This record gives sequence, C-alpha cells and structure tokens, in this order.
Amino acid sequence: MKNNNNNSCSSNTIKYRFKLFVAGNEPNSVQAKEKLEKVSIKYLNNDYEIKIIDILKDLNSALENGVLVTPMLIISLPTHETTIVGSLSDTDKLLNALQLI
Amino acid sequence: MPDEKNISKKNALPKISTGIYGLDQILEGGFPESRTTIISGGPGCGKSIIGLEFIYRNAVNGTPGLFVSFEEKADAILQNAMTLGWNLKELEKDKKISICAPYIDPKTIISGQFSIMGLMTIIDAKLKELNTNHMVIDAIDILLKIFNDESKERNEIYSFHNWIQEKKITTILTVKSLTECTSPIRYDFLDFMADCVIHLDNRVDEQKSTSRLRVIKYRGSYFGKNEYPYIIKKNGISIVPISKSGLRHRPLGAYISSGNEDFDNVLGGGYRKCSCVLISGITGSGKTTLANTFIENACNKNRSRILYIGFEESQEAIINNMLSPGIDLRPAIKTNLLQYLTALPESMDCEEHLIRAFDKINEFKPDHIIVDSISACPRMGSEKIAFDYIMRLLNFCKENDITCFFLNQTIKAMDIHQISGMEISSLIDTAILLGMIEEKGEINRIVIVLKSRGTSHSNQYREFQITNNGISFVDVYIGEGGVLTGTSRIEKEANDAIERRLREQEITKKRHEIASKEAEYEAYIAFKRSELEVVRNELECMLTEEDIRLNNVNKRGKLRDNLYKSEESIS
Repeated sequence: MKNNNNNSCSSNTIKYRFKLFVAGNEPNSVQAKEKLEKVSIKYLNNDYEIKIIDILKDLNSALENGVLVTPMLIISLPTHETTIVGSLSDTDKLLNALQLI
Repeated sequence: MPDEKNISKKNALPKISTGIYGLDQILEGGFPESRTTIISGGPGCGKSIIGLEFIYRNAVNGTPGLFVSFEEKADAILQNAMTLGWNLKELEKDKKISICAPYIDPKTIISGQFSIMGLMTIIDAKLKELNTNHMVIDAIDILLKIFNDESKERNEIYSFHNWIQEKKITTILTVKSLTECTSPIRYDFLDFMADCVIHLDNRVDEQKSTSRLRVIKYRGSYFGKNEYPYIIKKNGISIVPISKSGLRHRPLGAYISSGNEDFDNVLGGGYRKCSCVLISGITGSGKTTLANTFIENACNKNRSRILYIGFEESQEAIINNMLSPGIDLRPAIKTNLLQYLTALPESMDCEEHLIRAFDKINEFKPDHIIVDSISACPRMGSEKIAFDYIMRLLNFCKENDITCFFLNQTIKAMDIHQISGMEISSLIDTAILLGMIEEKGEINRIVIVLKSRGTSHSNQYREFQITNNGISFVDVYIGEGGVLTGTSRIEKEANDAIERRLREQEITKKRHEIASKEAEYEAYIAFKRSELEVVRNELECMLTEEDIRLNNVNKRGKLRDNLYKSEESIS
C-alpha cells in the first residue's frame, strides 16, 4: 500500500482537495477509495488532489484529524472542511457535499 | 486495601483498585480486571470524575492508563483535574497517563457503511505506547450517536466489546443515564453487555441534593447492594459505606481523667478510652466547660490529640469563652494537639460533613473527638440524617479506637428521657446529665452520671460550681432528706450543727444525772450499812449479856447441888 496517492494534474489550481482515511484493506475502506476515484474522474475534471492515509500505518495523522471511524473523507476544498464517513455508497451525498448538485 | 482481602480474593475474579477507597469496599476490591465496567448517570453526577480518578490514582501508583473523552477537550480535562489537585500534565510527561479527546464534528455526513476501526487503532497504539491495558472511555454515547441507527450502534458496540475482551483491556465506559437520554432504552443493552454496571444518581431530598451510587451487577463477584451516598470533594470522589463486616468495636480502654479529680471520683475513676460519652444539659449548664476541662488536661498532661468538631461556635470564640472559667486552650493549640473543625450544619449535607470529619480524623489521628453539639445535627437536613451522621461518625471512631464526646443540648432542664439523644443511647457508654436547680432565688448546677459502662460510678446528684479556676465540686451533703444544693445545703448544714449541739448538751446532762444518782446510791448503801452495823452491835451486846447470865446460873447450880444432896441424906 502507498501512503500517498496524488492524482493531481494541473498543479497550480486545485479545485478539490480530499483526505481519505482508511483502515488497511478493510472492505468499507476499499469501497470508499474506489468510489472516490470513480466520482473524481467522472465529475472533477482532474482538478483534484486525493491523499489516502492508512491509519494502521500512520497513526499520528489519524490522531491529529480525530479519525475514530473508517473510512473517513475530509474535504478541505472547495468548501469549508466537511467530513463524510462511510463507504461513500450514497453518491448523492458526496456530490451534495461537493456542491455539484 | 488490607492484605487479607487480597489473599481471600486471589481465587476469585482479579480486580483492580478503583482508586476510591469507599468504592473499592463496595465492589469488594475494585473494577474487574480485563473486563468492561459501565458507569451511567445523569449530568453532573461525577461519572467522568470517577473514571478520571481511577486513571489518576493508578497512574500515581505506577499503573499507566488511557483516558478517552468524547465530551470534553483535553485542555478542559487537564484543567478540571487541576482543580481536584491532580497534576495530569506531569503524569502525561512521564508516560503514565494519556488523554485523548477526539473531536466528533456534529455536521459529519454519513454515506454508507463504516466502523470504529479508527478508534480501536488509536486505542491500541496508545495502550502500547503506555504499556498498559487500562482505559476509560468517557461518554461513549456521543461516539455512538454518529451511527444514527440503533441496530448499527448495537452491532458496533458489540464488536468493540469483543475486541476489548480479546485484547484483555480493563475498560470503564461512562454513559449518560437512561433517564436523561432522549430515547431511554437506547443504551440499556450496554448494561447487559458489561460485566460490572454502576449507576449514579442525584436526588433532592428535603432541599439537600445527595448523590448516590448503586452497583447494579457485577459478574463473578459479591458487591454491596445498597445505595451509597457519595460526594465530590476537593480531591476527588468520596464514598463512605457503612462497614459491611459488622461491628468491630474494641472493648473499653484505660481510665482517662476528666480533668477534675472530684468528677473522676463521681465517674468511678474517670472516662474510659474508646468509649462514647454523652454530655447532656440545657444551654449554660456547663457542657462545653466540662468538655474543655477534659481537653485542657488531656492535651497538657497526657499529650493526647483531640479533634473538636464544632457546629455552634468558632474556634476563636470557644478559646476566648473558656478563658473565663480559667481553661487555657492556647498551649494545646500551639503544640498542635488540639485541632478544630467548625462549620454550620446547614452549610453542607450530611455526607460532606461526614467525609470532612473522616478526612480530618485520618489526617490528624486524634485520640479523642468532641462533637459540639449533636443537637445541632438535625439542621443538616432532618432527624434521620442527623442520626445517620452520628451513627457513622461514632462507628468510625469506635473502629479506630477514638473516644467520642458528644455534647447534647436538651430543652427541658432535667429531663432524663431526653438524654437518650436521638435514639443513640444504646451506643453511649457514659451518659452525663448536667442540670440546673432553681430554688430560693438562685440557680445551682448539678451533675449526675446516669450510666457508665465498666465503672462503678456515683448514683447521686452532685453540685458543682464554675469558678475562675475551672469546675469545682462542692462536698456532698450526706445527711437526711435528699440532695441539697446551694443555700439550701448551707442552711441545712447550719441547722444540723445546732441540732447536734443540742443533742450533745442533752447527753452531758444525763451523764451528770447518772453520776449524782450513783453518788446518792452509794450514800444510801453506806447509811444502810451503818444501820446494820448498829443492829449487829446490839446483838453482840445481847449475846454477851446472855453468856454472863448463863455462867451465873451454873455457879448457883453447883452451889445448890451440894445443898440438895445433903437434904437427900437427911431424909
């Protein structure tokens, strides 16, 4: 597993910034990761940055961000910091948080 | 904890001290080790404090612990602990405590399935870092709310519980009490899951709020099943369960002087160590003076340590007031043998009063305590509360070999029935009643020892005076007609003296009479004897005469015999 997974293309203007906390290969985490990537490719025109953090390996960032439940997605751009927990199976909620609906 | 307890518990469930002495007693040792304990209660009951105290006390004793709070921020926890005198920062630096206060954003959006894996990972790492398996999770209900679904909550907490059990973590979970929750039944499954469940509640009785603690269940262990009142005081939780092991009072000890030789005699030798002495009387009858006479003597002569629990006067007032009857308590205070614990009964509830007293006794270790006065105790709330206070204080003192002096202000002057002082009479070893008799325009002080176990005390009223030189007993009037005091006694004594003198004169008179009678008798005898002598002399004379006469006859006869014989020869 990689600690950081940067999918940024246009380096100067990033419209969307995500931090996704996962717990190893736990099913919900894997699902969330896949879902986020899928949604990003589909809706975000490469204007995004995803940082995937495995709390089993990087405990400190889990502590800093108060990650009690996994998977947890923190969106710091374009909105104020928004937290979404869960496998992201409810796409509408994610899009809603990204102000795309 | 005493050693015996540990040994007897070895085969049973392993336990870990709660860090709260009274709670350890109720739980017969402490929280179950490697198991889950739930503490539930309403707001302000002290759930978090019990949890924090458990972590703190064990950390101080060398066992590190983790404190996870979902309710308060870490800074606030540290600050709150500081007000209780617990320096958690220091312990955190030494890796004895770790405080973890993850923030849960209430605006968190939920999309799909998730688990509290993150929490478990954090806990696991923290426990490894501290090298311990003790943790407290404060306000677990706040974490559970994020699921927003009852069955999910339940599943998640069960898997969490399984994980705790697998890891053998001694866990204390605090939960808001059922009644305070919006959906009351929501968290009751926690009670079924846990091995030990403690409920806290706060009730208002007679305008005094009391916090009470009850153990609902404890798998594999005995526990105290009552409701136990507790308070949160300046250094943590305090619970004083009434000893479950029955009466452990020791027999009465050596005689100790009352500070007044005459009164020692009345008592049949003095007070007894470890006894309970009740001094009753109306206001101004000299209860405080009698008690302070004892204090002065015990402190100055025997170097005894005395704790004075005052509900009526301040320390300064008592010291000043006692100077008038010549009792100087200042040396005793200077040498720290006499200490005061004063408060108005209304200022705290019974539990706080009691714990304050126990703390002081534990710290100061007095030989004797004085309570001035138990008649003020009902002002703590009610008669029942006062009885509770006195009983438990007395019990505590008896178990610790402390002599108790209870001053009791009665309403009627010489009401023997009132002496019993709130039904505690059977626990009283020595009962002293001070009274005042009003007679002939004066008031005289009297004292009687109503009972005194283990001594042969006087059964009479005795009169005493409070002089500039302390208490002074007046000699007993031992004449006829009962006990007399004051002027009556003096009058009676004067009358008695006159009577005595009269009786003495009477006796001398009789003596003289006898002497003269004797003389008379002697004279009479002498007279009669002389009379007899006269008669006897007369008889003597007569006998002599007779003798002479007889002699003459014989002579004549002889002469006449010769003549007769010649006449016979003629014829």
